[in-house]
Amino acid sequence: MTVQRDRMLERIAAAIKKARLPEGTSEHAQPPSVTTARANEEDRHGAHADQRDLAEGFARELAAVGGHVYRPAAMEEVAVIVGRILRAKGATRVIAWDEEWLGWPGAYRSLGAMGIEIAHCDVGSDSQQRKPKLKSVESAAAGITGAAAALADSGTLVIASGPGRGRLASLLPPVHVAIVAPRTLYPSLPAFLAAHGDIVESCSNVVLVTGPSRTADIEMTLSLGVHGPKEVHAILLPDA
Amino acid sequence: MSDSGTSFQRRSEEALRDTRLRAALRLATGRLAAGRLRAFEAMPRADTLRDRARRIRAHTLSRLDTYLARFADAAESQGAIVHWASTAADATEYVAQLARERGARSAVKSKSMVSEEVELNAVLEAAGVRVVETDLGEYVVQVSADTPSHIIVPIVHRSREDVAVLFRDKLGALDEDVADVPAITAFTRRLLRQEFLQADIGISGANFAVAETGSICLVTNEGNGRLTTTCPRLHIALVGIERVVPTLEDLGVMLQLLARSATGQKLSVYTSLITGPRRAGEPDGPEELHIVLVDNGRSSILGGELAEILACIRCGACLNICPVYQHVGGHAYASVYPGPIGSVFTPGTRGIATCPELPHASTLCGACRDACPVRIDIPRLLLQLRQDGRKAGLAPVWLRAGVALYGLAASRPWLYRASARAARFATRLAASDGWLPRLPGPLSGWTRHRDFPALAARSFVETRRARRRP
Repeated sequence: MTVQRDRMLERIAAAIKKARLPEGTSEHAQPPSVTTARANEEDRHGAHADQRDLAEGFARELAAVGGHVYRPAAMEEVAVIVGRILRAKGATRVIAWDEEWLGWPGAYRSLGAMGIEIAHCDVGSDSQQRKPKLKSVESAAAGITGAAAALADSGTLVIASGPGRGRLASLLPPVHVAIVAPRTLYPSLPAFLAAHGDIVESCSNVVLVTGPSRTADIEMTLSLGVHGPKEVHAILLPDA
Repeated sequence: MSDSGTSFQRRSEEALRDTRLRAALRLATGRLAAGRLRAFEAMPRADTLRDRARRIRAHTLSRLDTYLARFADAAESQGAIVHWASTAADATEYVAQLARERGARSAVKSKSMVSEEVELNAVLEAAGVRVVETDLGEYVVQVSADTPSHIIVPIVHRSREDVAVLFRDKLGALDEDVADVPAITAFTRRLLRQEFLQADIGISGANFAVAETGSICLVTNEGNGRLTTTCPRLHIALVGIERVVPTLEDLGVMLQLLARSATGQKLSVYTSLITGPRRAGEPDGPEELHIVLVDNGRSSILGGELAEILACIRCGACLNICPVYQHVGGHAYASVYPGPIGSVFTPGTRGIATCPELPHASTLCGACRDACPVRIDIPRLLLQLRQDGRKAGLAPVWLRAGVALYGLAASRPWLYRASARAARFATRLAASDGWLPRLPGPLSGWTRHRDFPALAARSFVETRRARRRP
């Protein structure tokens, strides 16, 4: 293994000496990120933008790509909104993150009161059990997750995996409901990465979700829900 | 050149006669190119960002060994297993061996250009592993034993009716399953969902690999990339060695350009950052992550005049804007990577002798260079390859003879003037309404698809002299 690695790296190093690369490359002993600090300043500056403006931007952009955004004025309304979404689908079973990660106090109690069964999908460590466990949650009508952040300029949800926060909840069911806590809105992807890039190393899977699953492979005709959720609902929680 | 022309010419002529294909290409390339323009017009500091992206890519290539080693170390420290593959065979053999060791019988795949390049599916099938492509377009390609004709939209050449007939014949779809595009989409979802749930291996490519964190970044719109890298217990990612970017911040720059250039979206629907396999306490995710770093001719490109092409981020913008691609489509190139990018990348990795005609499949208009998010000077690279082809003795006889004749005349002013005069006289004599429908002998190739203009009565030098006179 290390022999192959060394051999490949040596060949690349030798090639670099003969490479004709765009002018000015060799002067960049520093990574370009250092030389373009000014552009970053502008990105970061946006981080101080008003949360209300950010919420409006996020709502507008997510709606533009076919998602739904809700901005309840009080915490009690969250259950009403979720109930309406699930009832419209005739849902009886959902895959949900652990309650502490949803940012919606009393979530499980509220869902229980609606007669919704909560499925947890832990695929376990026994490889024989993996496929049956996956199949057992496949029929869930919706997935309910929290979000690590939301990005205003693209209408993007940042969903990070971890204990109690499975990947399947936002992936397998045809409907994804994401609860977005206040003060997690960022103006853009660069602003988020600058402030919270550490999340990429601390979580094995971080996915930026921008609207419902889509394809235009056939005759450029847009069609939703080809593999991932067909509906994405983001609920922006009010400030406590 | 003989009348039958080169194989590229034969394939293009076939494509040009296919009016349905041309309508489909017009629609797709037109819409994708317009989407790209709209996205960039609406973007503040787009040019600054493109310059920055170009610097990031060039800088990374100038220290590719360092960044690759850093990426591999970081990925391994997060629990991934990194394999180094110099050749296509190294890569496919490793994957096949892994499949055998794990007793795998089936694999789901999300779209990966590298896997097409190394022809992974054939090797896995030979090892007894059933491989299912899961990108809708790639799935259609696989079911019909076809090849993709566009980097982003693999079945740009197929109509909805084609797909409906195919799914009815090969997959037993009912009429209502293929009544319209949403029905086909829903049918495919049901069918492929079962494949995801029972697959032993998930195989993906990577759009980027981040050196500082050891993450691979995978971009899809359908969500098949996420299912492929989540459901099966084993995830194998094939990554071209040039996909690496130094930092997350650099990744942010590239991501802002990739989707806008490809489809006009601000971001694709799903951008996954995968850092190692499932961790302790996590409820799901793959138990094992293997990352195969594939060279397969890339280091040969790096060590030469074409190095810049490795900056490519596979957005497909150069295809959509290319007047040649727009008319003939991807199959005419007979190359895994079609269009302007492929006309450089394929001869670059496989040698100009394998496809001497590809660098000529261009008008050198420069639209690709203008559209490229990292401003790769594709026309320069195409000219370089044409030169390489000539030096390797691959230029056709008529071209060599023609250039020799021109050289003879151009270095003797009296001969040049005399032949120019003769050509002016002859073309004006033969022309009707200023155009010649047919040129004689070896020049007839030019007039096969277009007329040749008669030369002006007076040369530029003569006109200029006449104007100078008081």
